[in-house]
Amino acid sequence: MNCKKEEHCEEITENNEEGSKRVALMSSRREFLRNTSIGAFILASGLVPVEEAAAGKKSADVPKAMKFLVFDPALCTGCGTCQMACSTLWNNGKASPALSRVTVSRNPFGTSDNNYSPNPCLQCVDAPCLKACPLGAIKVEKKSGANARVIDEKLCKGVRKCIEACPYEEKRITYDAERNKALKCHLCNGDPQCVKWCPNGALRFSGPPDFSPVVEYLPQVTKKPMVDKSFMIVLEEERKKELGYPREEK
Amino acid sequence: MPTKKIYGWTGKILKIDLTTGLTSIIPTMDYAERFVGGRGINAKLHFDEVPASVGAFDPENRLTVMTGPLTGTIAPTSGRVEVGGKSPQTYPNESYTVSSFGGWWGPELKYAGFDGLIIYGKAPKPVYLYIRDGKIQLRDAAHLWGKDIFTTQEMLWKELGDGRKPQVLAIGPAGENMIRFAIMMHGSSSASGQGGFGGVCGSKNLKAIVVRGTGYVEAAKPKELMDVSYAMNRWIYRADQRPEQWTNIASFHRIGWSFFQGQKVKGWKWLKNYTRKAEACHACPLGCRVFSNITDSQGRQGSAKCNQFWYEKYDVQRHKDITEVFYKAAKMADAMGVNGFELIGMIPWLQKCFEEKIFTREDTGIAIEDVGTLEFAEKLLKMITYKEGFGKILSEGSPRAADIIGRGSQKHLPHMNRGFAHHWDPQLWSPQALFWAMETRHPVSSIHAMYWVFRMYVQELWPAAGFASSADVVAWSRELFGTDKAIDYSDENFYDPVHATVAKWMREYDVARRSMIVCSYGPTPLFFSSYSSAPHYTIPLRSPDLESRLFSLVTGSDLVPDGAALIAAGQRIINVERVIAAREGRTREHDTLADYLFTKKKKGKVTGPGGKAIAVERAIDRTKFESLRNEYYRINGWDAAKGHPRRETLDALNLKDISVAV
Ligand code: SF4
Ligand code: SF4
Ligand code: SF4
Repeated sequence: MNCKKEEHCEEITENNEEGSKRVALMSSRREFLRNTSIGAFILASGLVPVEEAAAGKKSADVPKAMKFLVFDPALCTGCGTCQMACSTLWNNGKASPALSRVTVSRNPFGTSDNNYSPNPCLQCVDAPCLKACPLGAIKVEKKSGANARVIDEKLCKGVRKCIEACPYEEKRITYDAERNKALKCHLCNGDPQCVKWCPNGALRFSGPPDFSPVVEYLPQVTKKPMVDKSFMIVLEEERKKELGYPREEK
Repeated sequence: MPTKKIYGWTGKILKIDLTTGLTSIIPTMDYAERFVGGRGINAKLHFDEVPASVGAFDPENRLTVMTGPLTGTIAPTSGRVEVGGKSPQTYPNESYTVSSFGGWWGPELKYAGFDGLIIYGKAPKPVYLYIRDGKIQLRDAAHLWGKDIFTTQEMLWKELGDGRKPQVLAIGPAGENMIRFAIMMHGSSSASGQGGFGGVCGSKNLKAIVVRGTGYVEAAKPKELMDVSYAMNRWIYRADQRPEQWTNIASFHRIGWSFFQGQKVKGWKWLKNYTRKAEACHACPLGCRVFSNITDSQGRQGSAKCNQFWYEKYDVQRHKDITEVFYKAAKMADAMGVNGFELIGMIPWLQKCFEEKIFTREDTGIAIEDVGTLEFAEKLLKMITYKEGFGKILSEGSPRAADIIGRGSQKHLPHMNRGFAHHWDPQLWSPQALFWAMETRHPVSSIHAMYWVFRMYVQELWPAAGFASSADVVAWSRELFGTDKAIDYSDENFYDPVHATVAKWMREYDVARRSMIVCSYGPTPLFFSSYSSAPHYTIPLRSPDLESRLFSLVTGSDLVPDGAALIAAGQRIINVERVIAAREGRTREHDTLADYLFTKKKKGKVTGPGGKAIAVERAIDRTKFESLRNEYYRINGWDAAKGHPRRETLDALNLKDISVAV
């Protein structure tokens, strides 16, 4: 809470060369669209404090995430652009599913629409990864209002307990062997880049109270709002209820 | 000299001798500077390593499998892989040709540490090649031999999966049995189909190539690369202004194919009843493969591209409507590893031969009147795959089968050149006639370089997907070729020499893209429409500068600084391929078209004067066509007698090492 802003900015930039000049991302999508010129996606603005909500604390002390990556598998083509965007952006131009904080599952013979689907980090309520880290390196990013669970790279020593702890078969945390650091989704300081790059609008950034899609271009193109109901959010059932998701159809 | 950091590439091509299991590494950069990657590097590797006398099924034949500098990055449509080698399918002689496939295999190969593979020799028993993060293994494939392509992939996922599936490129029984048109396939429908390289794998006892990597591909200028990719993806959105009932991005392909089949209503029905979502290759914003909701006999569903339609016509004729049969037949062929594109030619040829009583049911065991049923397709596929009875002759491919049978069956072949069945319309678009005459195979990627966009335009299928107005079309012609005539396919202008220039340019553009690699089918042709007044983002997205820009941003090199350099690289590669063809004995008499194209008229819509859509009906005039082809030789700097590259031409293209060998 009382962190020195500058420091934490560096932390969230991870392995970004621009890191020393601090984080990150455009605050306004409109502006983004106007500025798709060289280097525009890195905007040196917005200091990002990281909440000191470290291991050892009771889960009640860790603020719940308020924004999530949601996805519609029916729209996902399995292209993997999301993982290319995440890894290229946050690893100094290194493109690799193994360095991406979102992965894509593919079953080319699958009989249901989720045969292709992204596996975003769920920013769990009682985040097992956060609790598992013996160094307290996983913290909560509060500034953007998303309350993402983020790894403080300065503290991470590559112990990888967090990866073990992540309860999902497709682990949502990955490991960068070259740098000996764990990598996990930090929701890009509240402006998820995978969401922007997904060419099919299959990923969205959404949250209570209305879970309205943040991405604007799709409804513009189709001239009809996307059906919110079709988007999936993988959350604890209780949390879903608490958040009122999915919304009742009117 | 300190070694320069390489971006884009891993720097290593793996060479593996299946006979001995010995491997070596060839530095990619020895080849990449002049030949870019993919199709370009394959050509030079083949030139260096395979003498003309080597046959397709000889152990000495090399199967070269190359990615490009863009493969595995975020560059849109950079998921494809190029395959090259002596082909068993090309006719009249087994000759060097190329093939490519999409999906996610190529990026995975690079993440596993290699840019490409050179595979030669013959394993003493069935094996599969397993590459995992730089480690190479030849593993026993006895348990996989005889299994279909889908089952093989599932077995290998199980065997080798580590939470994530490895990517598998496999052959089916058709490849194992070395039929001449066997495919290699990855996923549900990403195939190296034309060329018969599945049979080449079979001849080497190679059942599959499995890759799994956790490495990365590093871009030199990631931020700019991401910006350009982002803008391209948004541009595709603009192109994809789709009616409401079209649920996703692949829709306009669906509709294009339906029209292609001349089955407008059936097309809609197919779209509505039998499809559910799109599937895309690595980093592709388009997703041209359509996922079907039809479950095959083994309980799988899958995706398919246009190759799913080889049986559709017969399905519709038989059942008076489109049914599940066409798709099930297509998936059966895929599973066995048979190339459906050859069947597009074979079935009408069989029908004609039965009609003319060249052979009968007793001779062949084929009940031709059953065509359209699933049983017919299954029986035909099985007899070909397992070389049973008459199937042994058919497994040679229709052109060779016709030679074996004789009795005038040859003249009924719908094969345009080099032993490949008809596709698209050389009678309508003269550069297509040159592609068919000059290419080492079925020239689908050169055609796709522009013509699907032109066709969409003239058929008013989807103005937003390509050219919106005649002014756009003319602008394209003027800017690229300095004249309005390059898009004029009226009878008066059909043989204008400018079309030789257009054909040359398109072929060069195509092979350069196939060396980068960006998809030829994919959205890049759309970026020609920015020659018009159509709005785009602040980043100029003009092909062919766009492709060279992607190359520069990934590699950080200035080897291909602009569109002109891209075309020049394409020209160099085409000349290497032409020298290989010349060495194999190809001369001007092979640079022609099937006789029927000179006599049988074709009706259709093309762009005419001023970029307006006009209706035409014509066959190709042989003499005029030949002079157009001679013009094509001349502007290429090839000699008039044989159409072979002149020594000066090669020297000027920085191909001294090749001109010395000629
Ligand atoms: S990384 Fe795994 S455990 Fe941690 S918040 Fe994300 S999904 Fe939950
Ligand atoms: S939100 Fe940001 S960090 Fe998380 S997966 Fe997407 S791009 Fe990666
Ligand atoms: S970018 Fe979108 S469509 Fe592509 S894999 Fe990711 S979620 Fe699916």
